Amino acid sequence: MENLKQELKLKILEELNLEDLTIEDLQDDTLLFGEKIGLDSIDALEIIVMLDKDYGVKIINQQQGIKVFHSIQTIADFIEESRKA
Amino acid sequence: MSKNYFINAMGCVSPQNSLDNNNFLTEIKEAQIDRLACFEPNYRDLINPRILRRMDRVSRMTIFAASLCLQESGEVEMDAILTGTGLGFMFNTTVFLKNIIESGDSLVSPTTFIQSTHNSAGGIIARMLNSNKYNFTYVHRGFSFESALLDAMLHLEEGCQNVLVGAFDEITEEYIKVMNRLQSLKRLDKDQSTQFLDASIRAIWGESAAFFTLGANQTEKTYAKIKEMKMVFSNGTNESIKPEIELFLEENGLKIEDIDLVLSGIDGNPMTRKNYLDLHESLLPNNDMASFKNLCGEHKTASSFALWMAAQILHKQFIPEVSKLNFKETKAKINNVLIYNNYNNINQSLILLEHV
Amino acid sequence: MTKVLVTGMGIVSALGIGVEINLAHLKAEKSGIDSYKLFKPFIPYDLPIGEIPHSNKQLGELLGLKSSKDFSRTSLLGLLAAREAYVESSNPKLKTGLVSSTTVGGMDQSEIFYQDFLPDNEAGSLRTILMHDCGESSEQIARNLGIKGLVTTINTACSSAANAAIFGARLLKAGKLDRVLIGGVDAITNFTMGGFNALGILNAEYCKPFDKNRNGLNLGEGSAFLMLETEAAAKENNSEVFCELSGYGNANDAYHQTASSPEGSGAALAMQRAIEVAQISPADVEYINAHGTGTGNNDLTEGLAIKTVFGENIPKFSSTKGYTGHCLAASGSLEAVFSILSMNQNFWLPNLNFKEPIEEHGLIPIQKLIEAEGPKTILSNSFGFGGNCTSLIFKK
Repeated sequence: MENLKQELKLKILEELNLEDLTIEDLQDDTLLFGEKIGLDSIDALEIIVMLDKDYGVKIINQQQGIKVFHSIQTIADFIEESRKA
Repeated sequence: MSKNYFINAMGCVSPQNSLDNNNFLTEIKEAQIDRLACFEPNYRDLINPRILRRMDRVSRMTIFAASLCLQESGEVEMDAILTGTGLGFMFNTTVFLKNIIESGDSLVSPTTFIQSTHNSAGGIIARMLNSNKYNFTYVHRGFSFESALLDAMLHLEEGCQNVLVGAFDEITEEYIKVMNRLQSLKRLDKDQSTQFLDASIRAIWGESAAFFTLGANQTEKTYAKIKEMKMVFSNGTNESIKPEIELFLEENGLKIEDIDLVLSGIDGNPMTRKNYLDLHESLLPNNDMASFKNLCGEHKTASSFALWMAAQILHKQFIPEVSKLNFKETKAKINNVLIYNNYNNINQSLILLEHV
Repeated sequence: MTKVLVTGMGIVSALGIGVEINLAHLKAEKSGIDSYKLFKPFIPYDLPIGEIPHSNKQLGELLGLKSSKDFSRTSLLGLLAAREAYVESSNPKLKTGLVSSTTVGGMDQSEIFYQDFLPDNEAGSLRTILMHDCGESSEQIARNLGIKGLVTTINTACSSAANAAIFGARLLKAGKLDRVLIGGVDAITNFTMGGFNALGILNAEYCKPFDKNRNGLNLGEGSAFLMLETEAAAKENNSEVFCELSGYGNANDAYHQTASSPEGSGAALAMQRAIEVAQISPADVEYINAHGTGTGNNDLTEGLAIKTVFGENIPKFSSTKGYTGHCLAASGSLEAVFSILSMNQNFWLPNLNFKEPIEEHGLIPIQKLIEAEGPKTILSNSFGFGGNCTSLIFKK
């Protein structure tokens, strides 16, 4: 789980080109779409592509996306659960 | 109705070091084999990393050039934002096409698609300035920049005070490969004079991004004044543009001999070279002439680099040696500069500038 | 200042080729959206589109071309609409220009090229890639019609053709031209299908603009052109006058590359500017042809913007995207033709597939075709990526 979260943080920084942020800015419970990180709808789509490509998990609809993309923790939980299912 | 279009600020990212308008082509960068690629700045110097993060190279060049211009303009509000580009965001377009060709039925990232829209640079500038003003993008081959410029001039005629107008085009590996393949198909005309540019007869592909603040009033920073601009669309026939140029000058109260410098778009491109040479010899044999494509390379919006160069020449009263083509005697003062560009013998344009 | 008059119209859409057939299908409330038959997707989509049911070869034959091979689909569609709209000039001294628009130009041909070129850079027919850029279709049209006064192309995404109308009108008012053919064209391509699909806004069913349960847009293809002439030129040419282009406004939302600001401030400004240029008051607008794509974001914010501009007195309105799909650059000119038909042929356009209003604004569009004296003042909206918002006003 810790490894997964670390990996997700690096991937998000890298794939979304968040050059002005470091891994310290991205705590497990930092709001991804809040003021500090400030992701938008396009980032959400990018994360959906990343989860599909790298983890083989699919986000079915927007409502689910909003819940899952809350923080690094919630994304990691979602991946773990999907893997169990 | 204003008929004065003052160039009050400029920003230019080009293959030359054109980032500081206080310096004017003091060092010259030469072409690498078949291309002149941009001398790239440290983009973070002027662009917020948050805005930067989704931009590809040409967006960065473009927004940097616009930012340089805006920085020089100071606290001037822009009444319109006009951009021109011949090919838009080639790199993003190619990446997205590649993704959809290769993706099968898996998901594709949308970012390169949304950033491939030709007006995305205009949109970024609007967001940077928080400007909800008129915002147009012109995408017509060798008229892309000229159309944006026409719109800018029209805005000043309609009573606007300041407008931001610029153009951009990039080279990509794929683009160079396609253009070189196309060029190798064109047979060279053996009779071509080598009076100008003794480089081998082929085009050097280039790129640039240049922006201008066009104002209705002169300021202490004014570089030059645009008197008039004209686009001549020909149906691909080899009809001479000579009468059009004569008429254009006449309409602006000038004779051929009043033009102190012709800034010509001639390069080694075999397709247009003969027509350039014919025109130079038939109409302009006694005019001092300089080239610009040996500095910026051929691209659909090269005339925007030429406008930057012409404004600098008039402002600094200095013509870089490397661009001089045909000099009878160096004039004591450069008052009138005519930019002539010919894109594929179909889109030909004239921009007339005056010293202020 | 001179009036700008509409003196010619031409259209190609999923409803058919030519003004007559489009009018017939509009009045019959018959949508042109269906599963694709000619489009060749890289991957099979189970998505309906507004496709024109003619192959490139058939379009070439309609145009009387020897071969359609040297033409992108974009050029073929553009030529058909432009020819229908074009009004010959009786006086060679009148200066005529062309302001066309397209979002992806000859991408239908580039896609063929890239499939060969990407694996092998020496492969791919160069003939096809020469048609890639946005200027190609415009130059084909200008050459075909002998237009020389000014030839240019605009690309501001989905507001393109409406912006071509603005630039054309301004050129006439400034005396730069006497006559100008304006419009837009886009063909269905893998690039745009793939792009809108990646954005998750393509609808697997028919689009439902302004409906609470709207679930995305259907892409369409098409082209429409309008001939604009100054009052003096129209008189001299003895042209049939369809209406006046009396107002126009362009504003940038300055919010996001693809999403509208929450309250649709750019859209509201565009409408307000158009009303101001037309020198009328909001109460004079009798019908709004909305952009209404059927996406969650557009229909919510456009509705809010309409409320900002018109307050409690919302004019009758509808989106015609349910007929044709979203034809990108062409949508502005396509919908201008529909609006002018409704004005002159005395009917009010319905918003197909609407059932329940959006909770946030509660706006209810025209649901069934109304046969009655047509609207005399029409406002038509077109909004595009890059925050580009445009409104046009047509007056009887």
